Amino acid sequence: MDGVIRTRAGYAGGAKLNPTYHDLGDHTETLQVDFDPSRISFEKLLDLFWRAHDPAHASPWTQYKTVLFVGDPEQEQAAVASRDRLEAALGRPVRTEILLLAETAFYQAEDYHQKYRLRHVRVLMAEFRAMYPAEADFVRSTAAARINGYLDGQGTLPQLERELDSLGLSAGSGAGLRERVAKRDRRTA
Amino acid sequence: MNLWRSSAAHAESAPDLIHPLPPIDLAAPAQFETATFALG
Repeated sequence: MDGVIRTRAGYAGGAKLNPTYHDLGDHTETLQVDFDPSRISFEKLLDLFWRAHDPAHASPWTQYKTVLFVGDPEQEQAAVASRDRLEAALGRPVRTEILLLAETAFYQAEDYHQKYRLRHVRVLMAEFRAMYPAEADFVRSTAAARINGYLDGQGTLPQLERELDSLGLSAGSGAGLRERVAKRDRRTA
Repeated sequence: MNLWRSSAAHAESAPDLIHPLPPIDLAAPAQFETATFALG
């Protein structure tokens, strides 16, 4: 998605210190996105968030709750306004929670949860390992975040074609990724 | 073409590797905002 700089999976919303996947305590699985506000607005991200889940459904499990964590009063205001608009349009209560992130903490998940789709494509990972021998640098990579998104079914072929040269892949891997996204676009056309 | 890493931080961590970094990473803006979601 244009304007997304970095992504990381993690845990938030609970009181337990230093949660892990196998000892999550009262935390919820969470995705954090760094974005360039000059290219994508928080409101646009909110639209995508509401469309990506069923806001009328509340999970009985804390681990899988749907939550909109807000980082500051501006985000809170935008989040509440968008929730209220959606509620009015749906004509039923939105059960997605809005929580202040400052009252909890975001804990980055274990490495094997980061860039999950990309991690399972060996040829692409070999190139990223060469680019980023340090795991933390790989997780922070914009290219890795964007390729992981394409592998997860996000983005379109024209979008990929516009930025393919900037993703740092070899010609062969770039062509492979392009073919993969083209095939998916043909299936969903 | 200079294949050496252009970032000093990365060069420090792996000076013997000659793979270039993705241009999109080198161009990442210093100013950004953060959004946090849990999607169930």
